[in-house]
Amino acid sequence: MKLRRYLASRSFTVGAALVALVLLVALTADVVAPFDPLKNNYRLRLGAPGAVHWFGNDSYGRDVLSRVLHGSRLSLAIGAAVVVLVGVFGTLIGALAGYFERADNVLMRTMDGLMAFPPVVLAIAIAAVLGPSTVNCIVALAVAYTPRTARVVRAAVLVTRQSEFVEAARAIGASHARVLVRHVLANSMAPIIVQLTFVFALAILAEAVLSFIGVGPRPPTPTFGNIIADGRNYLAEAPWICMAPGVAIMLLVIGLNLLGDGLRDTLDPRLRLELK
Amino acid sequence: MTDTLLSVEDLVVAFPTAGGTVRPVDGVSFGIAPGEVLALVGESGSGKSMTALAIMGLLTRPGRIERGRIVFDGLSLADRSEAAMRAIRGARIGMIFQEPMSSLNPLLTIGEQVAEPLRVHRGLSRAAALARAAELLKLVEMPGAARRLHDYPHQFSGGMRQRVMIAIALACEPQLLIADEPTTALDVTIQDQILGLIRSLQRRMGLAVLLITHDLGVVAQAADRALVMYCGRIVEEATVAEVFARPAHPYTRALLGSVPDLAARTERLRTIDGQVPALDSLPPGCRFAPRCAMREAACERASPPLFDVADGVRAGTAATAACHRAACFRLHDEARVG
Repeated sequence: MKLRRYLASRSFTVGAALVALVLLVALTADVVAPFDPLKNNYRLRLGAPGAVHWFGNDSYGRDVLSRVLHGSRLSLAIGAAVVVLVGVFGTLIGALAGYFERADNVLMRTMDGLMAFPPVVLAIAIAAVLGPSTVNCIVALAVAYTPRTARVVRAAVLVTRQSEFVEAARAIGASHARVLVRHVLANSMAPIIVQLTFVFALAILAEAVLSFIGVGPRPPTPTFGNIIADGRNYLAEAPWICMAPGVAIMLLVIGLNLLGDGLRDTLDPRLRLELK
Repeated sequence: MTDTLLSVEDLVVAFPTAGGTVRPVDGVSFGIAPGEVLALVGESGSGKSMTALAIMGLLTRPGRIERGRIVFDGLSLADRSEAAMRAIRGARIGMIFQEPMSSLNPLLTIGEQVAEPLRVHRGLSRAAALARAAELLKLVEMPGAARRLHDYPHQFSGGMRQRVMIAIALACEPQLLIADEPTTALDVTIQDQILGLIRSLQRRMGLAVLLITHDLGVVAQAADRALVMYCGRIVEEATVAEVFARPAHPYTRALLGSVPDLAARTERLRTIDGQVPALDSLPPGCRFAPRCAMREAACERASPPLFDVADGVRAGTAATAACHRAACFRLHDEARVG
């Protein structure tokens, strides 16, 4: 895998740069953020953007820039946790369904059942039942996005399973588990990686939705969604409160989508041919 | 037969389909002696590969062995569990495939792949298995064997990859090698090298080989004995010399007749009229009858059993390994008349 091949894809380069920027900000928030994101200052309530508070202040007088910088942490962490959970369970379910015909119907009909609901609505329902917290938000999003990933994995496994090297591996006496992991899954990774990039983007968006309607991580912990939720009541007087996290979400999600597109183009040349 | 490594008796492989059950292998019996190269010859769809997969226990669902016995070195394979088959596959029966380009995992190095059966069956450590893999690559005459251990499949040519496949198949020193069209995807000079390699390894290791091919040239070059298959049945069985010198079944004759003769000037290549019948609409009697130039009324009524070619008496179980048999009523009639 040559880095040059990836950089040849413009969407990969731009996407990776955007994601790297947000990641860098999240990692260095403590140092970079000019103020304490939780410190109230009622004298600065709904203060407009200026030289000191670049992105203005919210309804408690907290510095919006610092809140967005810190908020990126939890938003990214939730996105990453969802990706890990969806990656593990989606791959497990999809791989079993694609490889073992007997398991296919039971697993995939269950996934179809979950897919009957739009993922965000499903996540809201689960989060509402479990109660608002960071962990519950992650669980809800993982459940909501696992079925689609399982479907992608299953499709990839169905294709790879037909390869001659899989039959050859069976012919040397390798067990099903060995064949599935070492030969089938290892050769199905490209679409799975691409899918998980998109899940990352979707999870960050959906986290914002959950926080916005109050079933996500509890305030005052800043996440992109929490900040927007705080700001929605003052949209007319202080639009900057929602603006900054909104733009941050947009940049991150665009970055992740571009990254996913770029990865897909590079990892799967066949798809690229079909698209062009 | 006195000394048989693998014996297949009345094997029937069935695939249930929407339009009824089809049987790509329908009553096949044969035996392989230790150290013998037996060629299974036939057109695409004649059931050669299905026979091999049935022996390996690798039939894909919904295909299954409907009837018959497969006995390998005293072990019955047809009714063995998947776990018990796994202990035999790769350890005691090796297999190589038609497409060396796609039979290797593109993500693993050659060394890892040759080492895999050793790790699966012998529980060797990674280092020990790799060391043995280097020896195996040397055995299959891979130039610079030890150096190439860490190369990936895409860095090898087709012929070299087939050598790797042979090394994998022979890693655990099996008694039987099933070679399913091992040279079909290779060009002619490489084909010759690979057949030579299989032949020399077979002699050196005392290996029995089931060589599946549609190419009569391969049969002539590499096999001791040949079975001719047509539509899931064996139509002729003889030593290779006999098959080429005195083909008895009309299908075998037609096949040999369609091989172009380089010495004679011919305007057109000879072909066999008609097509191989579809498995769901087989003729009731002899399956070759609709295409046979010598067919009689009887051929369309009943399916001929294998007759002994030498004396035309229907072969019993006392047949010897060297016998020449063919499934054609005409042989029976010839014997009666003559």
